[in-house]
Amino acid sequence: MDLNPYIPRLYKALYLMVQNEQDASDLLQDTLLRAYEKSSYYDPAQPLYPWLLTLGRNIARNHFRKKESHLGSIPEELEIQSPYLNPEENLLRDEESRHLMQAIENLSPEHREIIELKHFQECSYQEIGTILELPPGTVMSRLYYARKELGKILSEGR
Amino acid sequence: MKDEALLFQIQALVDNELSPDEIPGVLAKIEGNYEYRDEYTQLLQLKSRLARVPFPSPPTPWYEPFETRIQRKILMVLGMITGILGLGVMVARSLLQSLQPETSGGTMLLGTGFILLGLSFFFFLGHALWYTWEETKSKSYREIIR
Repeated sequence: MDLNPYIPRLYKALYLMVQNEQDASDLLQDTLLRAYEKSSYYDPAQPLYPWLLTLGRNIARNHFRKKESHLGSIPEELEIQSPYLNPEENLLRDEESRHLMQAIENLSPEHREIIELKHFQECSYQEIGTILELPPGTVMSRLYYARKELGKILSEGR
Repeated sequence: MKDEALLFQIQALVDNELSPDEIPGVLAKIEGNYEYRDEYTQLLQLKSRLARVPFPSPPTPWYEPFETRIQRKILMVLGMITGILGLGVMVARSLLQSLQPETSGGTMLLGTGFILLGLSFFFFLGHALWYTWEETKSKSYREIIR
């Protein structure tokens, strides 16, 4: 079972949950370890990422219980500076990202979840359907209306 | 009134979820209607904006710097070259002995083969020991074991 191609997506998902680089790294390591331990439970007929994400979410939930942490603030990843941009471009990009993340925060939970799955975790429709237990048509429709809502929030500048 | 099914197809086009035979039909519909063209552009713009949100990179595994280290590659390549050469010399010596038992130089070939195989063994051993050493000094590895 090669988990390497899934690591960046899983890390983003965990990072969005805990919003802290160190905790996300620890949770990633725990999730990968758990995936290897529980690999016999994985059904190869199903996409791997939803299964991995379920493991990661359960581990993150336990982490929250332990730390009594909370969800919902703007990730600190917005402070990360790209080495390829000059300081002014970085500043503009940070502002743009902050604006986008705030708009995503204002979405309904269902819409926020599907936007994160599609855009940050780069899930296919099939993977989203498996994760959210939705038929393909509903995935497309929910994603479409989530994008519409996001577009509306962004244009209103809320 | 926009056709919802077509809107979902346009979205699928933006997400690379359409099959190759569906793409030309959807593109033709987009080109023929400014409302759908606008929809397509908006979806592309949103996708591009969201793709620019920066995220930290996942941590690199403890063994990754070791895997890419040039010394490790040299040891592996040398091990393989000397191993293959050693085996080649041994096979050549056996063939020579079976075809021309009287030929001199068989002992020299045998010695060369042994030396090459011995070198190969030491290169691989060096690689394995170094790997073990890197593994045990890694903090993450020790934490996992603990």
